[in-house]
Formats: sequence, structure tokens, C-alpha cells
Amino acid sequence: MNDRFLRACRREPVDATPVWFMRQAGRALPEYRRIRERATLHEIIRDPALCAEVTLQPVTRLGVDAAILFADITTPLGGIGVDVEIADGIGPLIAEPIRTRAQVDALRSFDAAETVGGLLDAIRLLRGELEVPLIGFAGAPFTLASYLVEGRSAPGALRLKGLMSGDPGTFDALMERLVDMTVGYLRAQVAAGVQAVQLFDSWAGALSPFDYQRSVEPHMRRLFSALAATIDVPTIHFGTATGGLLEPMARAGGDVIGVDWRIALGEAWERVPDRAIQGNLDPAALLGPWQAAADQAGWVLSQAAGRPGHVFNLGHGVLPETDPDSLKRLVDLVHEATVAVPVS
Amino acid sequence: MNGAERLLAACRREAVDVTPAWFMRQAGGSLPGYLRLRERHSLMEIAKTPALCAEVTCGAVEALGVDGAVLFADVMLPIEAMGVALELSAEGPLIAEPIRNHEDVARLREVDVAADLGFVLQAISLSRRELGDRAAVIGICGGPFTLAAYLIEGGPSRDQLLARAFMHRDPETWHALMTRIADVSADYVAAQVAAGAQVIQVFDSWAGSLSARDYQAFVALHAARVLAAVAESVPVIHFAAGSSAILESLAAAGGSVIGVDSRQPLGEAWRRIGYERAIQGNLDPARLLAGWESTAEGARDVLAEAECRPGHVFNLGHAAPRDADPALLRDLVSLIHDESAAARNALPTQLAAARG
Repeated sequence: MNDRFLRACRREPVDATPVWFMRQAGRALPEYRRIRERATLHEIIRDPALCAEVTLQPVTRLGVDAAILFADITTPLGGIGVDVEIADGIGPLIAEPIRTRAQVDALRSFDAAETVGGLLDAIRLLRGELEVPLIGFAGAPFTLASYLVEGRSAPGALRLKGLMSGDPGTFDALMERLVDMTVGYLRAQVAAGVQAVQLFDSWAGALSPFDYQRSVEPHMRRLFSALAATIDVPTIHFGTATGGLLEPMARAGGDVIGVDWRIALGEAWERVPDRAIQGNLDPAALLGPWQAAADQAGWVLSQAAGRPGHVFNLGHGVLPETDPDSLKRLVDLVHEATVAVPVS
Repeated sequence: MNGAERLLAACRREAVDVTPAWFMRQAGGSLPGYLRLRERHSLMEIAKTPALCAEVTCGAVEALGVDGAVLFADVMLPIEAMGVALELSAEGPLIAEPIRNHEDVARLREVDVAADLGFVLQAISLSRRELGDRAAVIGICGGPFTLAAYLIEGGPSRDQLLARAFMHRDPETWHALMTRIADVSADYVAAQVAAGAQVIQVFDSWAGSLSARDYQAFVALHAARVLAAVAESVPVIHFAAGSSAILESLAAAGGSVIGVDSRQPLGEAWRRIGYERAIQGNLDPARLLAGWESTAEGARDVLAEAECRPGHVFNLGHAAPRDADPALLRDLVSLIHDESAAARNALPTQLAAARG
């Protein structure tokens, strides 16, 4: 078993810097696109064999040091009674956005086996086949709430922030329900076999540090402590545009803090020195000439400066237009550039 | 002090009686006069008819009591003048044929601002005449990264991935495009000042999707050219949203006033850019959707962050929501004026002398 990813999460020495990519399973891979010709996203996620196949594809092709379960952050929402449609090129769409306390109170409680049984079976299948650790994941409550309240992807999350400051009771009630759901969802993933979990708070960057501390951090704290009480796998806490939020995000929890490309990795790490760090090559850099991408990757590695606890990743998901060969070269570059010289 | 004096003084970090306030996208939105006009005219008709444009621009001053009258104009107007067909939708500008390559850049037309964008210049002159000193006329221009991003993406987008990919894929064409945009923008802001604009705001709203390293390599020199074009004649506000990672680079590119959004505490942002710059911001527009108490609380926090230092221009952190209640905006201006006056009066005498 290749365990350099798990070792890096624990800030232990590694033979080479581990690398995986957010959305490594997906449209950049031709073998994924072939499957999508005959199955929708929902169908893949519900079918254990298909889901496992898609999850394995990037491990086989790219040689990454971790697999990440193929699912969508909105996948568990059906379990609390929210219907989500994933529209190509738009993202999640929710026909009846949540705006009132009554709607929050009407949400059902989450039962993992009932809602995501297929996904849990996929995890079991994958553990029998994988030579690298399997990462489970969930959307963080604020990010899920942004879809639930806005109804769709909404940069700035104005309505959600309006609810947060104008009707904090409803906001908190919604966040509590989402924390409960997420804890149940991640516990089930770990029980089925995932060896690390990542929380994606992709919209947290819409908040000021003050708002995050007051309105989101308490919920994230409860989420992480509920996880810590019942599961024993590394947690990765990721968000985009979080330059202003790193300290309170780290306070809330996460063995590994994931950052996007906007911030220099070295600077981010100085601000959360007691954690491992994940990131942060700009996915857009991979659409340019290889040499430019390689230079930028080298810069990320120089920011990490060989300190134990760096998990190499992109600053956000792999773009569909990315050439898989570039991803493969990037994995090799990271390994070759960081291979530890054995002590003689 | 009248509104124009107040805003100009704050931009120059001179003493003011009360903190000046204006709002991005204050003209239009839910203002009753504007809604009546929109029943009869499209957005583009209003923007391109000087009398209507001036009416909407000045209407916001009447309705809200703001100290600045930001021109009612879309940032994409100069892009349209470059020969790019665009449509203004509720989501933002949409371009049917986005820029893909060097040939597309080469096809962009030369712009003669006086001839092609004369309606904007006339609207400025009319607004200036109509307003007198009640409010300073603020001319606007999209920042070069933001304009390039629209051109490449074809519309609004979350992280401007296509634009960022373009700059990495083909840096030469990127710089050629940015040079063209900066040429037109520099002429455009200079003409607006000549027509009577007393302040210019450059909206590089989306530059916050860049790292500081990429901002410096791909954007800074072009932004600097636009900002420098009028820096000698009027105060220039350089605004970007989500700029926490690039704030120093943004300030280094230019602007006598740096505009920040609500994601950074204003006090911290001011420390980072240095007190020799003025600062603009930064109430979260989401507060306006949460009602008066939340709005007032947020506004007081912003004033507290500014500590009555000379050089604070109150604004939202980003554009006012289109459905923001005009009464709320008006009350917000009154609160800023009243409470900043009270705060100044409460300062110890020596500090008050230093801070106006």
C-alpha cells in the first residue's frame, strides 16, 4: 500500500510528496467521457460498479497517490428531502430554494444507508482493489446552504448572507441540519472504508473573517468535533478564496488545510503552522504550454520547501479541457522533484 | 461642505465634515424614476441617450442623498465600440463571439472615443450641469482584467477560468489584447475627465481571481497605464472584489483611492495599503437584503474600522443588489453622515485637528 498521502496528512516524513487532484475523476479523462455517454452523473453515483470504475480511472492512468470517491457535493441532499438537478455547464439547480424557517423544519433527517447505499457499496468495492488510500468527501454546510438558499451557483452568496445576518435563527437551524447530515454521511463513508475525508467549503470565500467567525465557525467546530469523536481518519478542510479565513478555518478543524491558487502556499502555511497543507497549482496553468505549468508547479514545491506535511494538489478542480498527459507529467514531476535521498 | 467637495476631499485625504458616501450601481436598480423609464426604454437606449442617462445618473443623487453621482453606464460600452456585439442581460453582458485567438484580437476596431462614445461624454456634461456641487460626477471604466475576462468568457463567470487559462496558454496574445483594452480605456477615462468627470473609478471587479504573482505578470502594467492616464488630473478609485490576495499589487498599480469589498476588514486593508492612500468601502451588500437593523449594524462596524481617519469614502463592498430598497439606501446615507459627524465631534481635540 502506498501510504505517502496518509503520512503527509499526519505531517510525517515521506519518500516523495504525495499528489492527487480534486475532480481527477471526470471529464478530463476520455474513459470517463465514454461512460458518461451512456450514464448520467446520478446513475454513475448510484451504481456501485460504475462509481468504483470511475473512481479508479485516474489512479490507473495518472499514478496519483490517492483516489477520491466519485460523487457530487449535493449527493446526500436527497436524503433530507431536497431534489437537486445537476445541469451541464451550470451545476446544481434546486427547484424550490429554502428561504423560510418552515422549509428548514420540514427537512427530513438523513439516513446514509437509505440515501447513499450504492455509494457505500462502491467504497467497499474500491477498498478491495485500490493500492492507494481512498478519500471520502462532503460539501461543507455553508457551501451546501448556498445552493439550498440561492437555488443555484451564486457568486457572492448574497441571499444566503442576507439570511445569515437578517434571520440568524433560520440560518443556524439550516446549518445545524446540514451539520447533522454531513456528520452522518461522512461517518457512513468511513465505516464503509474511506481512509481520509475532505470537506469542500467552496463558497466560504464569500465571507468576511468576522462573519465566518460569528456565523460559520461554530457550526464547523461542531462538525469537526463530532467527526473526531467517532472516526479516526485525517480530515482535509478546503475552501477557495479563503485568504482572509485561514485562521478561523483551521481553528474550526482539519488536519490538513486546503488552499486555492490565489494565495502563496508558503504564506498560507505560515498562518496555519500546526497543520498539513494541500495545494495549490492553478488548474488554469495546465491549459497552457507544459513548461509554464511545470514552472508554476516548481514554484508551489519551492513554497512548500520540503517541509513534511505537503499534499500536492491543484487549487481547485481539474478543468474538463485539461490534457490527461499533462496531469500524468505533473504527477511524475512532483514525485521526481521531491524524492527523498535515502540517508546513507 | 457640499457633496462634491466632501467626496473630492476624502479622495485626497483632506479633512471632511462627514464621511462621504455613494454606492456602486446606485443609479438604476429599484429607483422609482428609473423603473418608470425602463417601461419605455431598454438598458442600452438609456445608456446611449445622454439626456436619459443623465436623468438616471442624477436621479440617484436626488433619491438617495449620496455625495457621488456614478455615471449610469455599462463597463462594456467601450468593448462594444471595439466592434464586439454584446447583449446586456440581467446576469451581465453576454458576448456571442468571445475572443479565442490572435486573429480575434487583430479584428478589434480602433476606437475614437469622441465619435464612438460621445453619448457617454455628453451624459457626463449634462450630469455635471444638472448637479452643480451637490455631488461629484464619477466616471467609470472596467479594469483591463475584467474587460478581457468578459471578452474571453463571453459573459460573467465564477473564477474567470477561461481567461486565466488564456493568459497561461498564449501570453503573447493575452498581452496584445490587454494592450488594446488599455489603449481604449486610457483614452476613454481621459475623455470622461475632459467632459467633466471629477473622479474616475476603475472597476477591476474580477482581478481577485488571480494570485498576486499572476496579477503582477499579466495585469499590473496594463492597469497602471489606465490609472496613470488621469492620475494627474482627478482622483482615481481602483476597485477589485475579493482582492485580499492581491491588495498590495493592486495598490502598486495605482489609484489614489483603493476600493475593497466586505471580505476584508477595512482597517486591516488600510494598514496593508498604507495610510497615504484613501480607501473606499465596504459594507456587505447582503446586509441590504437583511433589513435595516442588519444594515445599520454593518455600517457602524465599517465606520469603526475607518477610525475617522481622513480618506475614507463609504461605499458597499460590491454593487448594490438590483432589488435593494431605495428607502434603506437613503437611510444608510443619513446614518453615515450623522454618525460620522458625531464620531468626529467625539474625537479628542488634538486628534480631531489631525483628522478633520
